[in-house]
Amino acid sequence: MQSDIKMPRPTLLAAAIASTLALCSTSAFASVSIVKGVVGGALFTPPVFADTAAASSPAGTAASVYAGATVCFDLNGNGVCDAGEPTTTTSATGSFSLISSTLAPLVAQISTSATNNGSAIASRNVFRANAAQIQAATINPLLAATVNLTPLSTEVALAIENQGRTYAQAVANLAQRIGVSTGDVLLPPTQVTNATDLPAILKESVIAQNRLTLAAKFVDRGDTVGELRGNFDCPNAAAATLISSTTANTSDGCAAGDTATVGTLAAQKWAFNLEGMPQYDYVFVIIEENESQSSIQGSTVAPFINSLLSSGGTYYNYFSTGNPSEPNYLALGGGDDWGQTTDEGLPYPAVTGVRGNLWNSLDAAGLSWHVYEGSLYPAPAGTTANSGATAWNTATGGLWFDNPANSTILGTADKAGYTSSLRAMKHNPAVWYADAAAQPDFALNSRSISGTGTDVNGNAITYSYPSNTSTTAAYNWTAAGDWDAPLQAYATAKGITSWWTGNTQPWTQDQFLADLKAGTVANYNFIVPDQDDDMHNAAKVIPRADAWAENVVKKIESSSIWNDPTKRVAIVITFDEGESVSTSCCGWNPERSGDGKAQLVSFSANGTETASTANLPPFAEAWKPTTTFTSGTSTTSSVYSTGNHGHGVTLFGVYTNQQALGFVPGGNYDTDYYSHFSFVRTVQDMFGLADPGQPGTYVNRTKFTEAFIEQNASVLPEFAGSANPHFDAVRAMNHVYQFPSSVTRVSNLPAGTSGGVALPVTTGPDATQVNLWATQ
Amino acid sequence: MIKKLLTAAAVCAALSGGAAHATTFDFTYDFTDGQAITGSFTGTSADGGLSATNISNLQVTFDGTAFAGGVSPALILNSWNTASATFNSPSTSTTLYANGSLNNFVISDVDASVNTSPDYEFAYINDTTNGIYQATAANFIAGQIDVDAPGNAAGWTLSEVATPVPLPAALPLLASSFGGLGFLGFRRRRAVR
Repeated sequence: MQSDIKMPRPTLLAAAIASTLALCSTSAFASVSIVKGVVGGALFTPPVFADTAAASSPAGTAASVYAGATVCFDLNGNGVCDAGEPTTTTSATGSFSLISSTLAPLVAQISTSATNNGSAIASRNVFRANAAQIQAATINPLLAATVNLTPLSTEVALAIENQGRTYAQAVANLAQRIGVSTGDVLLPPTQVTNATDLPAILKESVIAQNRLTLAAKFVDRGDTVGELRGNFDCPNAAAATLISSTTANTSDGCAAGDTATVGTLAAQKWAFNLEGMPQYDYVFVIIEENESQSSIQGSTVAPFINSLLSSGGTYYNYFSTGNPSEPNYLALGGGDDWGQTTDEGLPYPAVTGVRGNLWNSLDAAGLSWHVYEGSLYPAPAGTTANSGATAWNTATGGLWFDNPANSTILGTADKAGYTSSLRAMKHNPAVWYADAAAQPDFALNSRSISGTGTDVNGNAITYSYPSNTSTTAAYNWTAAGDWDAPLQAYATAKGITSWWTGNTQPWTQDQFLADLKAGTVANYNFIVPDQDDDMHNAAKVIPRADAWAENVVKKIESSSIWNDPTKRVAIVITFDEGESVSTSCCGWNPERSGDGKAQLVSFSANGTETASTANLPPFAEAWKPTTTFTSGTSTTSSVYSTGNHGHGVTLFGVYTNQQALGFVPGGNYDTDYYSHFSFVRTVQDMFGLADPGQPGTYVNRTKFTEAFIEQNASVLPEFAGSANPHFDAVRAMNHVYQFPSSVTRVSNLPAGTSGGVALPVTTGPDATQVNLWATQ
Repeated sequence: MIKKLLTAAAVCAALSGGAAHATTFDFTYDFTDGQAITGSFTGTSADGGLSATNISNLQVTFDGTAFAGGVSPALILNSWNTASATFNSPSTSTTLYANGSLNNFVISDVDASVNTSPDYEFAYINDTTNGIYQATAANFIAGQIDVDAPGNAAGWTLSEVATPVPLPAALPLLASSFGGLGFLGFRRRRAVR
């Protein structure tokens, strides 16, 4: 293969240096470098989202090679194939061979004129290989070393550059993290023959390719460090219209280095750290019900949750987004509630039309999600797919209904049978989105969980709270998970199989434990206790939910994924609602409620407004059948102007294996303002689902950063004249913003409210600005 | 008749005199993608022409571009050491085989046992110990590269060239032989006259 350019000859200076070094050693320092390899990766076919199963289709992934890619020895190490650097072009099979008089990293520039398995490439990409990879592959400098350029070779290069890893460490860590052999991890997927390794390598290739594509966009747009590290007060784009011309902005502006534009190497680093949010492999969210932060933080009746906060990190100004439950679960699933103000009830799914949501976003990025629900009703085979049903209370399926018609099993607790007050479908944050619920993987992703039983190693999990507080046995914490055994017995007696295995395996009331043992939990796992175990039902004491949560966390802590130092795992514990006040932030502006203007505005990927209807039909009418349901009648008044504009502060704690394994400190807090919208934005960052430089790629209101609101002030009247743009805007939960010394928190809670504790800081910067999600 | 026999003997002596065992060989390697190595050397034929040792006067052309060096300074042949995965010091015993799958060598403008920065090289390795089967040609000046991996044994040829006598050693004898023939002819023509 003929290279495109002449090889540069060593300069006199370079020759002198080489000669000098040669005198010091007889090693192969001045060796030539000969490489051959393949530029490979994955060809990902995105899923098709629609409101019906028939119109939906799953994603597909195939091993692929890139033809027509430019490959070079990156002599100056800038991640770009510059003029004068040894360069070649990959063949139709993605192969290349290349020589250099000096050892240097390899770069593959995959432009839109290249092809991926013959398919067009929509957005350019850059893969790299560190020089250490070439050295490791070199048997003798005069023989060609096999070096493949893949998304995973680029991850190895980034680990060497940014984490101080040796090449061997970086390869071993990556192989262990994704569960493949070190011999396979850097092969182009087309050459991987191990049936176990190939799917894992393909999945990681898709994940990394997506992030590397973002990196190329960062470079092409001239994005700044400040923008990419999530300093929302240092945007790259100039604000078009200030939303507040009279009130001093609380922003602290750009920090040193924030205004610098990024090159390829820095862009790729930030692409795996979007808005300062590290990439996580597994996230577990345990959602509780209806308690304010002040009633949990420091409470003696929630000892486990507080121990979790002490070991992990706590957010002190985390706002729920509505009242009652459903608007919050909508927000947790997709970053908006579209004005819904009630528990609208059944049937499900509700939100029709392909609206952005976390579940579809995860699917579209080749990532997985599960919703684990407590006291899930065992459903006989074939009775799960009732998404279009309107007579919601007559079918027998357990997936779609709170109270299936045949739920006649007798419990040992307070009820004669399984009732709709136990499992609440409305607490499932995915089912609300028709285009998520219609996906072929929806039933697969809806699984059972138990808050009782042993850890993954069979060890007993004991709850250490000393006493029960209720005179009614069922309300004591010892009753946590009291429906698991009866439901399991029912399933076993009936020979019921699980829908998430396609009815090929016996039903288990704790698929969560089985998944932890098998390492098959999803990347994003939303855990929903039943309403007796989540503090919801009256008189179900806080310790009962505390005990249930401890059981789940201890299971996670006993798993191999938690204890694997190469994996990044986070556990979140939070509540749907908080303080009973309608003061909120971060995507809502309560000061502007009642303006009578619809806020459902459409934006393109780059944040430009594409459609705005002055008077949208009420949200409820847009989706709700006219049927009168058993659980309540439909309402027609739910529009933004009269709907939720946020709700009160609740507890949000995060505990990571990075803290547990001692890589980063625990016990820190963050007093910046966040909400469910902020959390959904954060999840999009940590899983690489959106582009910080393209506001419209974030779902719904999670795109409402301060800069975005400013740029769209004319179509977002609820934010006009904001008294505090920082307070009203969404941002990732990255703790980048540092409060000026004079700023007092808007929504601090008084000491001792509902038995809670005073917040540690009320004015000025936090004690540290550490990111509570930090990784090693 | 006697004169004719003397003349024939003189020619044969001239053609076969001096370097009686030195033979010129040509070799080629056709890469699977169409590029080619061609070259020649002087060596001692063995195995009925199926191998060669005592190799010198190496000349190599890679896809039409000659490796600089050639006779002076000479391109150097190093054999491959499977035990150390390095190249051995140059040796007259280094053998090139007509059967490509037996070859383990590099021809370059440096002594590859001590220098890994050539400007030109052609390596052909069949190393079962280390699992290396590779033909690599590189011109670091022009940025030319080709690699067949595994090595393409069918693409290799090695053959003796028909002219076996080194020209410099034979020239004086040949000249004197032709001079003797000319004198005989002169005398013959004078006798006729």
